[in-house]
Amino acid sequence: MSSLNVPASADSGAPPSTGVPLALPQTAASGRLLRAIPAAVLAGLMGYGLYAAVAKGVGALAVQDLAPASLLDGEHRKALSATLTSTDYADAAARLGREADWLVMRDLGPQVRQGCPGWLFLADEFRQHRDAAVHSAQRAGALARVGHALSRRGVRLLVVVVPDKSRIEAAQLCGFQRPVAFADRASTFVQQVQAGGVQVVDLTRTLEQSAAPPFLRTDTHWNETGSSLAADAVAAGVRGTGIAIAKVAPPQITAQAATPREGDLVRLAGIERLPQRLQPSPDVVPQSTVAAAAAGGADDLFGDAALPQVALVGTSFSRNANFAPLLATALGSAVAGFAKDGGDFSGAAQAYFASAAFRQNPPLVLIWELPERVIQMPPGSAEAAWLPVAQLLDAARLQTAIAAGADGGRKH
Amino acid sequence: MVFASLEFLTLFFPTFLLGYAVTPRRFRNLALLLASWLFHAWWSPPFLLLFIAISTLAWGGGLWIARTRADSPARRRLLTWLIVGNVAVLCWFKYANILAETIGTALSWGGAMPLSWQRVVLPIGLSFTVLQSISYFIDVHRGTVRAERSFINFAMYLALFGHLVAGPIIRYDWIRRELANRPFNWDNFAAGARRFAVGMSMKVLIADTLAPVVDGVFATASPSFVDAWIGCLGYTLQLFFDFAGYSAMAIGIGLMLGFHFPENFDHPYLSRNIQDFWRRWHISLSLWLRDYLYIGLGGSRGGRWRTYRNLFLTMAIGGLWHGGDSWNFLLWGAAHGIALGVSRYFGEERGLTLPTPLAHALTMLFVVLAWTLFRATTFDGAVDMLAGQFGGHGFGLSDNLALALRTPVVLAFISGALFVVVPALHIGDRLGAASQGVREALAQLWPAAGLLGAFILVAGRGFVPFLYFQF
Repeated sequence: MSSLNVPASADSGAPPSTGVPLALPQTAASGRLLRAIPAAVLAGLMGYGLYAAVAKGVGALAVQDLAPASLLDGEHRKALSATLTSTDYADAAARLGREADWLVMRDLGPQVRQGCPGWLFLADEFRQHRDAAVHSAQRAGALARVGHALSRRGVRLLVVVVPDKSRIEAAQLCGFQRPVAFADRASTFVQQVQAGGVQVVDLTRTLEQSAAPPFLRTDTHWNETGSSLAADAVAAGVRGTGIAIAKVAPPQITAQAATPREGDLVRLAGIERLPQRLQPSPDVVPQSTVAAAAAGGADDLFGDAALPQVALVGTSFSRNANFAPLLATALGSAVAGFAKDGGDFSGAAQAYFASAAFRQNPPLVLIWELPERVIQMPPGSAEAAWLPVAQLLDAARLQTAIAAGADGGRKH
Repeated sequence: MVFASLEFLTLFFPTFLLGYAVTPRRFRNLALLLASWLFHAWWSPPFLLLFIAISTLAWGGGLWIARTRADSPARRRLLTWLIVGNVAVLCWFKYANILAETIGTALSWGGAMPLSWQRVVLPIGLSFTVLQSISYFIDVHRGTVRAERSFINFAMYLALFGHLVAGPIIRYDWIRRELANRPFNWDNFAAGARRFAVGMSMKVLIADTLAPVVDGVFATASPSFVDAWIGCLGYTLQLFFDFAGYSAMAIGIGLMLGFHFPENFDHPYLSRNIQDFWRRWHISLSLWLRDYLYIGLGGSRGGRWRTYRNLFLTMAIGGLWHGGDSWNFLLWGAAHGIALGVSRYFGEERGLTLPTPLAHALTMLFVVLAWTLFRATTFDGAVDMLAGQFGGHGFGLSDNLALALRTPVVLAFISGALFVVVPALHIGDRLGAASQGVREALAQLWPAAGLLGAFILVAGRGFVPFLYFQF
């Protein structure tokens, strides 16, 4: 009760009675100095915060762009708020909160979980989604329609499913459980895509059979052991299409000595600026360097021979651990990379289909890499608009169809 | 902006305090009024105009009532029209959407095309402003207070940013002396700052930490027994710490400026019956309902069945006041009205007395189950959750909830439960006078530490809106 009470001020009349006692217990020990502590902390936080805000230019921002439109639509307020959250102390506060959670409670935030000591996993890999089966089927259907549309243009689609790190490194979960419902998540999706007439390379078996751990400990992604095995499996898949890919000198990949590597999961947990000894120990892995191959020979008048006949769209898996160069080496051919970090299911593919590169130099084989965890995720608004019309590879027609779909939705 | 945000803590409030401190005393009410209007306009500049219009009409209405003869039909008609006008404004902004949705659903059952409807946005603080205006009209009519002649003082009473957004519901009579004359001194500021720190700790450290887990469970179809109870108990704690925390911050801000707002919560989860609960939960609202609605309906003066009817109607209307997005709020209020009637019948008429632990447990069971109705966004969702709470969807802990129960969340659960239960143990009395110095020191230190922790979280994570904000 005492912590919720308020003392009556000596200068005004007694506050209205609600039957609730309002006085803090007063003793000889309760001095003004003690009672000043919360006020001092509040005043200090407000004072420093105001100083930092003014130093960031909030004062000038507050009085500029006072156009009615900006005030009415909230842009002015958003600009002020964005400035406040970009101050140094806001960044320091975020960091302090995350680091304290890790040091005191061994908590890595909402997006990262630790299995066995030093083994970090992305929380999204464990998250079950509503209507999961519907989203999986929608995506499989979209891939089938895209596959058919591509084949009419002479392009063969090859889908590559990268299994969850928590599936392959299950021994490192140390009691942290994957949902039972995820046991068949990847294989069911593979079957759905294959039923749509699209070839799929499921990397689950390949990575499970790796002698050494194929994934990094403190990173979401595979290491070069994993990417190399994956590259070999995907290259076999490309050869399995029966399409003759022109041979091109592969890039030069030079192995380097193993060095410490900061994992993205450590950054996602917000503890990357802690002293090394207080973080999960970093991966120490070889990180090969890549040099581009020499250009085509004297007969290659226009340099066409080096134009890649294999294109790769996907996520950060395709951009990590030298997967694309290793794939090019395994194929003995050039691979044009169009993957995007954070592309999820279709971000990279959507951008690629709208690009001049696809319009002017379509490949013979398009490799579409996707991680297992995106299969059942609810689509974002952009993907949700794109999925039903994914087969429209012409960017202009696609935008028209999406806009028509949006209008039709609004009319209802 | 909300109190637990960088906009308030590092921009609006310190700038206002600096300006207020250097403002000559005779202009401080005007400074407070303008700052409160700026606070209101932060959300929506156009709605500030509506708010100023309501304030002007309320001020003018009070003066007009005072000019009419005390027991004349004209005064009663004027009072009626003023109340009806305010309620009509509230009903439009608050209930137009759900009425349109309900009518549309009914029409679609008949095969008609669904209604095309542009949703109406509820201006912040409107629910509280209307109740305060109505209480003012009635108090002037009853002669409890004199009509306020100063527009600045009256507008400031309605607009004061401390309580504008989510209460407490302050009656004009409670602060009329302080409107005219109040100190702005260090003692009040220190006491108010402590109270503000307590409130912010409650809101940010407990309520906001529980919010994602509660949201996740209530968004899950067919939750299991364990999931449903974790979600419901989590919401029980979240709602209290969010709302009582906000009230504490509002009381603290008022105190810093020299106002003494009454307490709004008194350990409601230690209640022994439903009547006791409503003497402890959102006290300013339950007093308002008692004094201006229950008594206006006749109270307990019309015999037993009229009393039960009045209790039921008062609580149902009180429930409806809480929200316009779902009929669940009306059902929640009606459930409490029925519970009050049942409690009155067995307690006062039959003289039944339960052992305190049993009375407490039954009261809390009802309150917690009723919160399920309150929190669910649809009636079907509430039924689904309640079915889960009674084992209708299996028993085990779901994988998603297991994923969400990180150490900080579990600590928030435990801390919240301890905060609720510990006052009932009267530890201070048991420890005796020797420890009072230590307890007094801790009483100042923990809010300071909590404020620091809460500020770090606010700065680092953005903000989570107050639950009662939507009302």
